[in-house]
Amino acid sequence: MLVEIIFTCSATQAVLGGCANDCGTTVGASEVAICEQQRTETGSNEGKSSTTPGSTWTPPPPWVLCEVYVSGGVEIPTFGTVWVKSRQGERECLSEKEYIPIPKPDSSSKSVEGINDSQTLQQIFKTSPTTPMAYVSPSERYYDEQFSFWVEKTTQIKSGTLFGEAVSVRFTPKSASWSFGGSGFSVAHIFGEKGDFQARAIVNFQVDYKPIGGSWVIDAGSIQIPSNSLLVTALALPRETRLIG
Amino acid sequence: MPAEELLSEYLEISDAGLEDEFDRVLAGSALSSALDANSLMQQLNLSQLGETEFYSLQTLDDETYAFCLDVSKTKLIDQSGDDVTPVDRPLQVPMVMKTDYFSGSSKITELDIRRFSKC
Repeated sequence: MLVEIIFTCSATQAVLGGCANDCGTTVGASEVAICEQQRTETGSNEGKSSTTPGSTWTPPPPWVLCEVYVSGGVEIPTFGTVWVKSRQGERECLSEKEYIPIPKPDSSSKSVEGINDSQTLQQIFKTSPTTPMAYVSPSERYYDEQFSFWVEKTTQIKSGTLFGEAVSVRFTPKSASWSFGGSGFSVAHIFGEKGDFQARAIVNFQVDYKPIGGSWVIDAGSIQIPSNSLLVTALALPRETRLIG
Repeated sequence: MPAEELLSEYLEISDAGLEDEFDRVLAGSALSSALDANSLMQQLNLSQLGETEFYSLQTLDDETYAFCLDVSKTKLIDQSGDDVTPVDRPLQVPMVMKTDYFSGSSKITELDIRRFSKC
């Protein structure tokens, strides 16, 4: 089972190389992040013309850094963006900037034969379950009567693309607990005293995810999401007037 | 002490390996993490050459700051003087630190990597 990890690091650890910001899948308290990385290489073949007789070589568009949402595109806004290396015009970008390759090492230190500029690109897909909707019926009745509460039990699948490939996260509701003490997706409750009460459910989702080119990873973690808040009024009992004698 | 000054002082102490002075600027998990790393250096008979630096210090809230730690000007040297710096270590590390006041002086209490952030 994956859990959220706090990567404590010190300056000395960083010098030792122990502060790698690993790319992987993290199931946090309220969010799942799938990180994929690709190592791109711009080898010495780039820019060379084809030697095949009769063929016409057209230079490819230049590399640019393209800003996209972490959902992998520009259509689904998310709270973060990433820069992706791509050919100019190849994909839609929020903005573009010049791609500057990592400088080659000094030729005096080692042979430059076969040395490629390389860059590791990361793309991250972050998602979390939609707030489960809770309901009550009725919302107002005498305090010694039962209120019926229920909360959605719907499996949610959130999908996105990383490096043009689909990734998905599935949130399956497994249990629910209520602020007044009950548990279950559908419960009845008697407040036992008059007053206005707020009630909400905390739904526990099992997290499964499907990385690029892989099969579903089942029960990678769990996430607890609170439902909407319900306002309930428990009324005082009506006064009875009895005739005696 | 302002965060910038506090961080500079910590990095100076760390670069110099002055373990006894760590608690002047560190506390909590930041202190234990720094002591552990220093102890590992000693066990492996490694020493650090060069200095760490930081840049892009940003205030996230009253006590939390983000910055990039740059270790590109440091090397690890073993007992024989050979350079044993890991070739694939990240040279710039996105970090976050929390500070707190202890008897009137500010200390770094948490030092963590900022997951999914870049420098």
